[in-house]
Amino acid sequence: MSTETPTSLPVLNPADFASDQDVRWCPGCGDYSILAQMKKVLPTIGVPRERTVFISGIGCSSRFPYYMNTYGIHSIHGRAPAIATGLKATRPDLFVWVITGDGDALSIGGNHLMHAIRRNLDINIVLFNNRIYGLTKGQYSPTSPLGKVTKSTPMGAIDNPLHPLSIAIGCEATFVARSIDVHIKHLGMVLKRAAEHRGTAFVEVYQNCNVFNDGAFSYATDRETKFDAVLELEHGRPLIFGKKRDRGIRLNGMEPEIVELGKGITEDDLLFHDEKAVEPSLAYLLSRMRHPEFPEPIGVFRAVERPRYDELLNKQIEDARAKHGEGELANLFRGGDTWSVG
Amino acid sequence: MIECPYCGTDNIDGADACEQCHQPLDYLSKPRPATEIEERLLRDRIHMLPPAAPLIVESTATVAEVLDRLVSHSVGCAIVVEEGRLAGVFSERDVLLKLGTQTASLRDKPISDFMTVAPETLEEQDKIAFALHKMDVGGYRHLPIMKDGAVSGIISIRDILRYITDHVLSPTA
Amino acid sequence: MATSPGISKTSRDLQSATVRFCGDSGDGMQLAGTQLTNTSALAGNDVATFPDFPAEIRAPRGTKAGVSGFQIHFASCEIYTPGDQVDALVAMNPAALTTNIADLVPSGILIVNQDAFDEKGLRQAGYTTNPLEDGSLDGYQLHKVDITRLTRLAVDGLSVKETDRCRNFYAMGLVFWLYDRSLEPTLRYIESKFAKRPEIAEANRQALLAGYNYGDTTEAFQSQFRVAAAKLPPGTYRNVTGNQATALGLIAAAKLSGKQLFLGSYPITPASDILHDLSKYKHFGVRTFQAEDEIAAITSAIGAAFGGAMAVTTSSGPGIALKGEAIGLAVMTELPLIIINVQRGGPSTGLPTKTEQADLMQAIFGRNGECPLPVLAASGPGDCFDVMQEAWRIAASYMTPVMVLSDGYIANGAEPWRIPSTDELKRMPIEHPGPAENGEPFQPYRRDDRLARPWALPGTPGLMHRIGGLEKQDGTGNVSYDPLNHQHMIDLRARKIANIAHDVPPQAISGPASGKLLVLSWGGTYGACETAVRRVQTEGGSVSHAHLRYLNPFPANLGELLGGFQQVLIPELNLGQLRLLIRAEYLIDAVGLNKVQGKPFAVSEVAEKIRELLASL
Repeated sequence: MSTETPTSLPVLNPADFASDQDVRWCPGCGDYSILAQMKKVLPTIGVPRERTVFISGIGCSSRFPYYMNTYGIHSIHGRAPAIATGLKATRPDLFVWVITGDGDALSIGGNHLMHAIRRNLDINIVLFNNRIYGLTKGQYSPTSPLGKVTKSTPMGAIDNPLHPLSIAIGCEATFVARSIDVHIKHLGMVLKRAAEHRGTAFVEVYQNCNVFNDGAFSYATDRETKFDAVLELEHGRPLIFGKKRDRGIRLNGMEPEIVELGKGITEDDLLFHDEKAVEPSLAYLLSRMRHPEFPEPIGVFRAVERPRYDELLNKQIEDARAKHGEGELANLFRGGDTWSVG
Repeated sequence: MIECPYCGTDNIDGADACEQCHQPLDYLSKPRPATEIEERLLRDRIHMLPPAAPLIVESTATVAEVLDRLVSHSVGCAIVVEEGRLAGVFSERDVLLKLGTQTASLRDKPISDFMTVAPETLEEQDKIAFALHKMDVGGYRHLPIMKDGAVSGIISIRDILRYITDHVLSPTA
Repeated sequence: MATSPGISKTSRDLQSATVRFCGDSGDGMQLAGTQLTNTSALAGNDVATFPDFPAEIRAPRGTKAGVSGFQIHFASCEIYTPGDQVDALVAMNPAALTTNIADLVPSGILIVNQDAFDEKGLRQAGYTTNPLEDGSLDGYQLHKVDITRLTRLAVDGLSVKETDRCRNFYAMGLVFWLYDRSLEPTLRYIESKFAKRPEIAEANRQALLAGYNYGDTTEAFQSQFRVAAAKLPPGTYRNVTGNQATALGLIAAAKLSGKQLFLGSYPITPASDILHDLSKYKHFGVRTFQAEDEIAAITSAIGAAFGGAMAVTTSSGPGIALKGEAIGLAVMTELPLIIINVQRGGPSTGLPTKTEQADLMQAIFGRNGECPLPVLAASGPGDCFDVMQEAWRIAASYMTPVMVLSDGYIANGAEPWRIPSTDELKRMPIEHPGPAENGEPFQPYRRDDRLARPWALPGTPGLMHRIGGLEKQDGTGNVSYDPLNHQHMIDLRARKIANIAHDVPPQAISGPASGKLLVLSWGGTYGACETAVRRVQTEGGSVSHAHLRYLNPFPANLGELLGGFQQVLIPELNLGQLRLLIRAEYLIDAVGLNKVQGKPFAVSEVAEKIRELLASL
């Protein structure tokens, strides 16, 4: 979404984006943090509220539009990307966000997510991944780990989970990023970059459901473990993590491996992050780094540009008008042989 | 894009009829042979092989008689008729699978007990590709060939092998 | 072309004639049919056509599954159907003959391409003996014509394969002679369409003239038939199929209401042509979106509607079933949307290329909860143009999705359509609320006198609001689970749709407003029913015909109208769906004529039922 700032814009603040609806998430829900960050980030983008639309599906995440004082659609399960496609294609002037969850986007909505990403519409998709079905009270989701015991899987889940970023990268998303609900500064940075990206921006947010799946991401948030379990990506910088920033990721053939810095290994030996790599393979490799074998990367995995569907569609309209002139009904009706009577 | 052979206009692949002149185009969507073998197999007909004269036995003939005649004629398959009409076939495979180690004790039984009833057949005008396909799918090595409702010949997988080596591996006119 | 001297041929006047060309899909029967149609229309006849597409795509040549046909009914009076029975059948091969012969009238003209009746052709059609020789066709005027051989004789300069492709022109020429049609339009057609290939153009001409001359000179054909021009209302006409008229109507509605058209659609027989047609009109600002599935097709349209576009989605029965939840969302969010169902044989995958009208219940009830939806139905190809505009008027004025029912017969059939002049078309201005002045929160669900909510467009300052599928408080639109509010909203949504009955023209009737029998019909059965009723009326029967365009809600005067008759007959291509609705709504003991065979009604079927009922009243 390009962010030209109009000349005389009232300076917005987070309160401007707050709607009058009481927020109904459970106390302690990670969604509060994401909501707060979104309200902080939006004023800095420079797009007026009236041009902002939030579209969601069904799930706890999908209550989001009600809490934003912008235009919004709380639609049906899984279909938000398709609704966003129709809206953005006909109103390219609007700033469109899709708020979804692991069930909404990867279960029933998998098909629409895939196609929205491959079309590269200029929209932002934020997936709140809590690895559970919260709204319907605790069934496993497509991102729940193998063996997860839930209401619908008392003997443990037997399906191999999907990984949102790997899916998005597989669909060649032009912007892919991950953040964590409680890393508020980082989350704000990621949301802002997503907003500024031209094309489909896909963001996965690790979100804690403290009622039905508490602690799913504690490895990434607890003070004792987070430095070894999370790696912050920076474009052009080597992959380094650890409390003392003494551990790094090096490429061994096609596989990543963890190495200790010093002892003959310097930063130059490490894998350097490149957001703009044309091939998505690097981004995919990073998305495959999972706890506990590897630290999980957060930040922007990929940020490239590719033609955007909404742009191409509207260009075809323009080109057709240039070639044939603005359509006239009289000519339209006469297509084909005509004859006169009387 | 395919060019309409009638009026020369470009049409989208697979169009049923030309956008411009409305003449039918669907026949153009037939698959085209990729190699010379494919082309010949799709073009040449069974009568070109040519089919061999069939060994015909009555359905009442005994196993012993039929075996003798298979050997004396040096063929692998006999056509069994009943009241002049095709009733079945009896081949070397049937000897192995249906007679097996009991052959001697079954020698006086009628061949109708062991023949393959109502076999698949083809016509002289059918393409050789069909024969190949039938033999592959059905697992047959022999196929009776019909003309005007009666058996006019028989082909075997060896006939097809010979056709391929004759016409394709050493290309001739 | 005058008859040559020496052979005197008689000429008979007919009020109408029905000709069917049939053959392998590669025989060009569609082209032959459309040429006869256009020529007849240009000669001033009223025409109605029905193409019959092959059941299977790319079926092997000469097989029954690959038979394709085209039927034309042309007349010197107004006609409404492509004809019950065929007066002249042209069969290019045995498979075509066997699949079509049952529709030829006794003593009808049967022209066959004798050259195709070889052993292989007969076998593929399932004939054990040659019907041309075994006497089975004695009940018809059989003309065995060596079309293949004669075409090859007539055409020079082309290969055998190319020459054979001119056979449809030969058959055309012969039929044109038979019905005294001018060759001029076809000759002009050949000249313009085959300009790039003069040798092909010449070959087609040669074949056409040879066919014509064959009729003229051969003793086998003794008479010609003349069908004079009909008295059609003055104007400029063109032929149009239902799907074409649908596309034209949608574009017109968009232009007349100042909207940009958005179509979200997924390919499905028999609706795909609407997507194809609309995708050619980008210079009208038409944005067509081939979605990844049926649900994305409608949900993208909902998104576009939210943004202010004239949003449409098209499909057939199976796709409408998939769209159910999304239609509910459109009803709940009260967004204008047009949903077009081009009905086909069902249930499930059913008969994709055959016509039926068994999705009425699905249209009216096919969603969870009390989910009222206005339902309109087109009555014929040309009517699609008007119905689309009416659907948009209702959708935009009442802020509701609207279902329009068409069917395969209407979609593919063609009839002459009088091109409207620009001043005949009604503008339909649409208003959107402007930017909020006083900073008060916007009420997205406040109501006007139609109970419609305002269509506030994103991008308008001060009007920010959220809509969604959860039940909401009237006025504010805030999510509400309050029991009384839910009752109120349910009642309100139902009332909003019911009120449309007072905003549509009263139901018209063809015939006296009271009498013994009323034939009540809807959808593509218009032609057969109207023709049947008129036929019985001229016989003195006390019968009238009312054909519904508005199926939900029914027009306000329908109850009163039904009450003027002793009996109501409802012919439908389903097991009695409208009958069920009429019985429930008006408590009358309506009777049905039900046929579910993938074919339209024959006029005679309806007429016979009418006579049977009249006899008992």
